[in-house]
Amino acid sequence: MTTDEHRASPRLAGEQSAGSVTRGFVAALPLWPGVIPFAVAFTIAARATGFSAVETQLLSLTVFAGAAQITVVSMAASGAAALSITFTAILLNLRHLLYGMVLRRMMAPDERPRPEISGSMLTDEGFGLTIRHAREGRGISGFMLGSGLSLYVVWNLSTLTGLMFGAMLPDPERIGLAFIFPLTFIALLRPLMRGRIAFVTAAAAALLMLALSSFVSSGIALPVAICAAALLGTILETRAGR
Amino acid sequence: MILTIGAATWLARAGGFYFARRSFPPIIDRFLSWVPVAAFAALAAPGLIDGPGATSSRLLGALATTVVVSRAGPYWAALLAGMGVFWLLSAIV
Repeated sequence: MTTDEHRASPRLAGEQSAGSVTRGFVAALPLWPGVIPFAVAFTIAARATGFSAVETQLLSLTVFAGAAQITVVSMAASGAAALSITFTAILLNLRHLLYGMVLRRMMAPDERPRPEISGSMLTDEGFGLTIRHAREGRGISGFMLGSGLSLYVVWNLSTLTGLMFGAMLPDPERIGLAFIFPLTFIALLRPLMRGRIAFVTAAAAALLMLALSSFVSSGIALPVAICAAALLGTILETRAGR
Repeated sequence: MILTIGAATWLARAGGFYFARRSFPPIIDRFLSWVPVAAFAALAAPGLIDGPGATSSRLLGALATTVVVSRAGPYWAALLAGMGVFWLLSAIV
């Protein structure tokens, strides 16, 4: 019966996603050591700029995006108007639109993503891990929710820790834990490096990012570099296909 | 201000999934298929060229990560190898 089929498939999807939420959560654990000092550094900067403890935690709870939060704090520190801070932060986070589109196109036609929940904690890192998971031919939504939740929990607990013990914590910069992030993206990039076009696209993205970063903030440079390099890859592939 | 940014960010996160629900011309799908390569390269580059420690330590750490991934090592082991080489070289230099 049609109604039975209708009921059976979401239940099945639900059962599958319970496991993949856990898998996503665990997959993001190796990033925790990098997230903790980043969040603490943000917290200390926010408090030094004059954000209250509640405002600082609210930023982590509602925005949950490292680059945007740092930008909000540093713009406020230099006396920028609230409207221009808001505009810049939103611009920085528009790249998530692109991530959502990519992930949606990788989903099976019958996957019901409910992105208002499963995508609500999407980050650069979560996007990367989920792409890797999807390339293994597995369902996306649950894993995406799990990896997002994992990073959300550690980001917010670290913000709280920074608020409570900020001045007493050791300087995380000295041990270079921030290096986990570039390593993560290198590890995610390596399996995608198949063929000349992939190398050209990656090289173009990296060089554009570095070149643009010296003129504009990295949050603006990032979407521009991604779109331009992806466009280059598209053109090269289209020409090679003819 | 904070809540406005939070709401807009949430809309950007969920919105892409809704945009991409209907069918696209193949050229758009082709473009989207190159986004991960471009994004990961653009996200990795700044921290590799200008990050903590010496440039040589970072590059050799990145090489270690690449080697582990190329040999189908697990992702956490690749990160550990990269950080291990980076810390070792940072301690020596």
